[in-house]
Amino acid sequence: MIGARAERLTPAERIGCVVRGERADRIAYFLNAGLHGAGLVGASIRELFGRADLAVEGALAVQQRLGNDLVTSFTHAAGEVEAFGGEAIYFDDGPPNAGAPPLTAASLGALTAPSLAHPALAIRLEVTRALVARVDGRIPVVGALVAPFSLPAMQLGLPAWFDLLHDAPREAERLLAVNVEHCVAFGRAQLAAGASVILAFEPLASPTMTSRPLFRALGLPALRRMLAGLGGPCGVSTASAPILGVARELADAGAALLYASEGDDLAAVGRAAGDRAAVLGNLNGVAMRGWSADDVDREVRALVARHRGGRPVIVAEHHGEIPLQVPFETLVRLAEGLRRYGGLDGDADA
Amino acid sequence: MAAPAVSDEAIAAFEEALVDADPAGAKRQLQALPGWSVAQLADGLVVPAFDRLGGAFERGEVALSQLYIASRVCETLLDELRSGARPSDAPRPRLGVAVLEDHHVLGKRILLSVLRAAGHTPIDLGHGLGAEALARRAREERLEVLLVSVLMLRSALRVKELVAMLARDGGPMLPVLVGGAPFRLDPKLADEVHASGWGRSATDALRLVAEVVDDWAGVP
Repeated sequence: MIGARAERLTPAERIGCVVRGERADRIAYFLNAGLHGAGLVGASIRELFGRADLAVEGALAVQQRLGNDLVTSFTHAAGEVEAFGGEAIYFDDGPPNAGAPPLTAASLGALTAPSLAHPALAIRLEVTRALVARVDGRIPVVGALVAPFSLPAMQLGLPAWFDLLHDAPREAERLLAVNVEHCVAFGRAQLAAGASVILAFEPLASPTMTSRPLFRALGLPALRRMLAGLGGPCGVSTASAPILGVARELADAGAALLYASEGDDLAAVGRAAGDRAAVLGNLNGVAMRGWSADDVDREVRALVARHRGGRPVIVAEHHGEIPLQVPFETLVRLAEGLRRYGGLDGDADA
Repeated sequence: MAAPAVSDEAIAAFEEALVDADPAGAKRQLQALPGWSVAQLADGLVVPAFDRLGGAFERGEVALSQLYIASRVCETLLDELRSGARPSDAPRPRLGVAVLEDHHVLGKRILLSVLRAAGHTPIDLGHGLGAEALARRAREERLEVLLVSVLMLRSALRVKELVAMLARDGGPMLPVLVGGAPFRLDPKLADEVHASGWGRSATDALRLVAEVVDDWAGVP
């Protein structure tokens, strides 16, 4: 198990270096293969995400085998819309998908933030607490939530959300207010459970997803209120959509981490953020599916060449989870390569 | 009858009104071509404007939200003009649009609006359909082109089953055109699942459908 091998720094120390902009012993990485955890603990994906003990064992099994520098209590985004009355549809070979949107524009007037005792939220807090206890400060635990401006994509469906944003912005603001309240409460609870940082999935923050006037008028203020309300560090992921064009605004709003897409230049994202936020990304999980051993080696060398010498980053799959169709052996080879060739002192075995 | 030529300035002005979600501005551009039939407006103004919008989306100059609102505005305007007008006698393939397995319908909604605005009459086959159910619906509807939108990788991989099922039932070859995030993230994926073509955005569908029609007609 790669994660059991001794190294000069612990993952927490290494991530600390990245956050402070200091050079560590090697490139930090987070091969976020949560779905693969099901196979590692002999469970289905429904069982893995439905039982806190299995979710914890799955997350730790992935960390142990790949030696990730982060571990996450995140299970599936669809779980958060369950708390608003939606459903998660499970599959054997992929992440749960959000079912039919539970809300309509007409139902928003009576909407309130869900209780954190809702099973879909409570299990995430339980997983966070258990992971924190198990890693004992050695590995940062990443909490997660779907951010206020993007949550309506599952609550209402994206067409209805875009309709509301354009046709009834005041109604949209009402939904955003409820979502900010929910995100602050859920994020604070994860931090209180011991999460080192919260990762907020906000794909609609990307300039490729919503027009800048729309985002600046409605999305950014909501995100800013959420970040201010959390009382702890929070990163923003645009879930494989480009982040560069909004990096400065996210950093201005207080984002501590920026999760970049495959198409983003991580160094440019860091510069745009004025080096106020740590940057992670930008591996393409869908493309990884077909990587041969040679492809993995080539990618590792290219990654190392790109990131040696610059401000340190965390290498991670850009969408938030690596597809189950990527062979686990590919990830093991990738992790081994990053450890072998990823020294940041300039004279490593590259 | 073929559409007369429209100036680049007129197309750009129409595109700008769509991007700005300005129905009145878009309507003025249509009204600036008096005497044109709806089919001529569709071919001469709407299709080129969406072609430009698709390019702008690919370059990151136009956001998905703008593409959606543009398609909605355009569909509404063209529907207004069509009400009471004689249907176009231009040959149009029988199109079906569906979301395979997933429940995220934005891509399908844009696709339907763009196709309708361009003068097609696509059949909305729904979302959350499995490969078998979709293959059955496609044959029941006697489709000539099937357009499939997906969000998740696992759904994209199901296209291969869909194509195999359509081939197995012995009917005429049904072109399956695909789109969605997995195909953008891995441009080789469309070939892997034996799709007939793929588009980066819904506006690419107009070109892809036109290519299929041209193939039928033997036009090089």
